[in-house]
Amino acid sequence: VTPEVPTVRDADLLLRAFVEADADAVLRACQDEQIQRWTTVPVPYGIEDARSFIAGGPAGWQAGRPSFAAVDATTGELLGSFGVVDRNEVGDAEIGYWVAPWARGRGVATRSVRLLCRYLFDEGAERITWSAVVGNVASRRVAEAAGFTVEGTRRLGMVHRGERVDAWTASLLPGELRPGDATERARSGVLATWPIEPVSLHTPRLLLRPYRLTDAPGLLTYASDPVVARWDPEGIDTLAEATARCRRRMDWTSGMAAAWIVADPGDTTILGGVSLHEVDAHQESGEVGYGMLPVGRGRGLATEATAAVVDFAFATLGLQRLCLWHAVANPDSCRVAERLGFALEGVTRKSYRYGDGHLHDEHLHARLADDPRPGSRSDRG
Amino acid sequence: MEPVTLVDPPLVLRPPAESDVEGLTQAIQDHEIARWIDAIPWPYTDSDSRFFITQLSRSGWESGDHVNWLITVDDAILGVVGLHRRYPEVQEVGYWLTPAARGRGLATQAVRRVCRFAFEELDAQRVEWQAVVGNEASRRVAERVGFRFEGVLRSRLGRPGSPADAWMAGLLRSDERAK
Repeated sequence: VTPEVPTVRDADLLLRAFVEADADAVLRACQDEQIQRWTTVPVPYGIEDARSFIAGGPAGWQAGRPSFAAVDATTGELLGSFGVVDRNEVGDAEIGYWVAPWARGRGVATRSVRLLCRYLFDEGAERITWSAVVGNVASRRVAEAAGFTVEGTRRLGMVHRGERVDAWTASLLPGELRPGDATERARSGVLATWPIEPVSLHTPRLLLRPYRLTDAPGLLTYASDPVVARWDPEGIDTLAEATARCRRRMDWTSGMAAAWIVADPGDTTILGGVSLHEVDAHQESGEVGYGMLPVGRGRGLATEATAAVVDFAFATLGLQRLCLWHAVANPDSCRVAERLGFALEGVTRKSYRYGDGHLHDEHLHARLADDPRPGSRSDRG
Repeated sequence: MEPVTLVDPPLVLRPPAESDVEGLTQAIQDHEIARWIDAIPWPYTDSDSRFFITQLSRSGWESGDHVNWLITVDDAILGVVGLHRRYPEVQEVGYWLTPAARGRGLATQAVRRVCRFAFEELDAQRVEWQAVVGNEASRRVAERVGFRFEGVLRSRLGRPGSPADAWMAGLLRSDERAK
């Protein structure tokens, strides 16, 4: 059985599974002196080595060791190899990589490592590690640029080309991925205004604060409310699922999504949540979503909380357009959208499966940055 | 591999047997032990020690990947010391002592003996030690045996939901071990 291999990408890089047709490019890349010196590829490297490396991909995927070919998203040219080379007994994923000599000097390694690590965190990784022969400075620079912290030197901790050598070791924890400088952000499609460290927002009655791991029990309680559960497409049934969601929501480093817990200032009870997702730097657009416990309804709390996020998206991030989707069967949500000044643009039929398991018709609402603020009146007669 | 008893007077390090279930349960009734070693359940009952002895330890000796000894003096169980093969030629050492047995150098003696076993019988080039940051008692033992401190691994240890940083140290076959 060939496992289904996802693809991940940024503005101009695509990570996908290796295919047989990559063999020639892998063969050419692995003739490189640097790759042969620092990595574990066979030396000398022949076409059979390339073929068996590619043939071993699916088994690696099944064993929790995904491997990706990084390719130019436009031309399809192979640029490098990025994957998990080892899993220890508690599930730490050790990554390994090489970049083809023709693809060096343009940040391919750092951006691909970032994409790989983002994918691994999304899949539930709690700790990603990196290890290299002491002296492999190029690899270390890539790891550090992506956000890894070098933790020490394991003496004789690695066998390299038949010899026991000292090894640098480093780790990356959720929330530590670094997006890089302005040039690199532009290349990866991340807004220059995007905050990597989560920020809190305040309204007259509410505190919108970033998720923490310790929110898991409260989130489980919140998500088990029948109305919340009905409109939550994923659903949360266990503390482990709640923890996994907290971990995803507290990590803003993708530049594509941010999320807040809505609470009373001075009270830890989770009243609701607001999220900003599908943020696209090139299109200058995003989507906003919200949920609220019944206790918070009827007091305009969802509107108040979401308005703060809408302001953040337009004023701080500089987005031009925000979409808002809700099921037609959820009129409470429609009222929030209207109060927030999101114009109804259309109805999409059976477009999304919600927490009740049914495909629902949805309203698409949207607001533009230069739309009038809701509730404001023009003074010019 | 065949389980081996190591004698290093006054210590006798012997592989645990099924008849040790109750003795092991009694010896480990100190929350400090489980507090620092996340692989040890708490509270700890006979079913835990039975699982350790008849499953983990037995299969570990069979494969040679996970070998454990009871630390005994005059047949009294004072603790456990063990080796875990992490990679080819790399073993990781772990240990604990009952409160009454501490402060007499017994852990140091047991760990030193077991490291010698790792180098001489298990072909180790390197023995690794990791402990939750703050476990000073374990660190003093490792230092006395001659382990050299190598770094702090972030969130490497701990129980689900409460990750803990780990000290890492290594002892090489070629190191001059403290006598």
